[in-house]
Amino acid sequence: MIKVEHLSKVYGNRVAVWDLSFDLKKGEILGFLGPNGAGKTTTMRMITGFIPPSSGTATVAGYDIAEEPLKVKGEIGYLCEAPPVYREMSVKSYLKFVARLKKVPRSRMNHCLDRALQLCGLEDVAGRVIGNLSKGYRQRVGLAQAIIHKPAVLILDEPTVGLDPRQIRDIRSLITELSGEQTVILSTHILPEVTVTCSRVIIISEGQVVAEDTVEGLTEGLSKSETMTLRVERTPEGFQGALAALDQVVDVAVESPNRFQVRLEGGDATRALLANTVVRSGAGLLEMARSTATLEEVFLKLVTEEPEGEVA
Amino acid sequence: MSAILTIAKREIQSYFASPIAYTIIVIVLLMMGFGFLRGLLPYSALFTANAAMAEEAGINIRNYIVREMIFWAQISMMLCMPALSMRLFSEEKKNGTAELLMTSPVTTTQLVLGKYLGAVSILGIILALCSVFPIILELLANPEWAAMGTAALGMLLYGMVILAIGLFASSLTENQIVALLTTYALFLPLWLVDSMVGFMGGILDEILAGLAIGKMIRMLGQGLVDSHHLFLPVFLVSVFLFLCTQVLESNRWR
Repeated sequence: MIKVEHLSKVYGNRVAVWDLSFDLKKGEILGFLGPNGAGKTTTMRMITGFIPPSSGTATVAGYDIAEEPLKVKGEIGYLCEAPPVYREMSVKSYLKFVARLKKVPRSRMNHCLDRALQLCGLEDVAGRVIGNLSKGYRQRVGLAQAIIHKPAVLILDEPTVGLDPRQIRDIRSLITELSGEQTVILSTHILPEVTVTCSRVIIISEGQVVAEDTVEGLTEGLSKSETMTLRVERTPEGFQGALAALDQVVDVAVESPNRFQVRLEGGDATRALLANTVVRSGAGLLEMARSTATLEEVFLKLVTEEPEGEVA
Repeated sequence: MSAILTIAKREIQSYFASPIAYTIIVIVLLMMGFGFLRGLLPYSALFTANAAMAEEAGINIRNYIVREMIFWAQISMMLCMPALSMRLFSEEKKNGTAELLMTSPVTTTQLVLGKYLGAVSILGIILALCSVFPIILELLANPEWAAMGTAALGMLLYGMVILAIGLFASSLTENQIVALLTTYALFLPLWLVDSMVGFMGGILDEILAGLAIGKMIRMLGQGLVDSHHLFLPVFLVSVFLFLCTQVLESNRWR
């Protein structure tokens, strides 16, 4: 549905996005994750045709963004960072305006309008002036605007920013609801959002993709070497050395005198071996727990440590 | 075409959703009304004093009342039209709604024409309301409707030139005040150039005469229609609308 090939955007001598490629099938929800200023918005703007790429190309629903920009724009619903609303208009007349702009035929106007109002929970405020609505409602109007013409592709730039927890939950469930018939790209710097809603994740940092996988894949990938937290009663002499000497143990870090972080490979077998070793050393095993990497750790690891890895 | 109308319609609605349109309509009508009285009062005084002599001296509605009104039309529109156009693109840029327009299946040309049509519609409303003046004259004397028609055409073209310049200026900045001042800066020379004609000599004089927008509206106000005077505003409007699309396009590259 969306195919991005070697997309780059360079402003003067500042690189905003560099050589970005990905592929998105119909019905997928792609989480576009990265710290502020990583190039998420720039990428989305390039796909929507708001700004042209410096090099590379993208196709949306089979149309090239450079060759048939109007067709591409017709297939996309886009919610930019600040909801693009006219404050002096009422919700209903604004949505009608957008629908006409997006070439919704007159005969389907009312149907589309009602659907968007209902999906975004705006029925009660349909007649109110947008400027008088709360920020959460304005954000929902922005979302309604993006889905009004039932676009094949939905591009949402930080759709839950500035909302209260309940509204965030509502928007997330709405996005999940919409997927299936719609392909969604969602940018965010809030991690749980991705875990909750997205089927795939692209982590981008300083304009470059640093990881691309499913949510499970990403967290698993990092936990190939898992970390065990170990708490013991006392530490006999040479305890730490004995642990480190085990074949599959990669690293032993002392957290506090009786607490260790042991990184190991080899799964169950190594864990059993580790437990055995601790018990035999007479340290008095109090606790041994596996800490799976959360997406947060993956994210921080990739975003902060990648440069070294890249050089090597 | 429907995209242009959609954008124009929203623009008109938005003008009337705020006091802008009302204020501008009132100011222009007040100044026009002032011009009307300034022409009408001495005219009627002369005629009541000695109608035959006044007629003989060539004192008529056209060179007394219409001339005065055309002058005030120029002043009032020069002041007010830039205030009408300054928000057209500046506000969209500032509010982020430009992003909506530019990611909708609408070409930049349609966008510019839609915006322009919206602003020109307000100008049209003002001119329609100005028809009250010839109607008053009709009750008093013969207003020479043909000359009134060309005068209205002159005002329309004059206003359209300012609006095109204003639209262009508002595409340059997201600050409405800057857009307003830029419009003044671009239009004033065109208006003032009129008084310089005849002093420069040679080709320069001809260029200046060719650009004199003030002369255009004065001639039309006197009922003198010259193809050049129709060409000049059409040319200026096209140039500035074209420049506006170019600015919007190039903004995307930055």
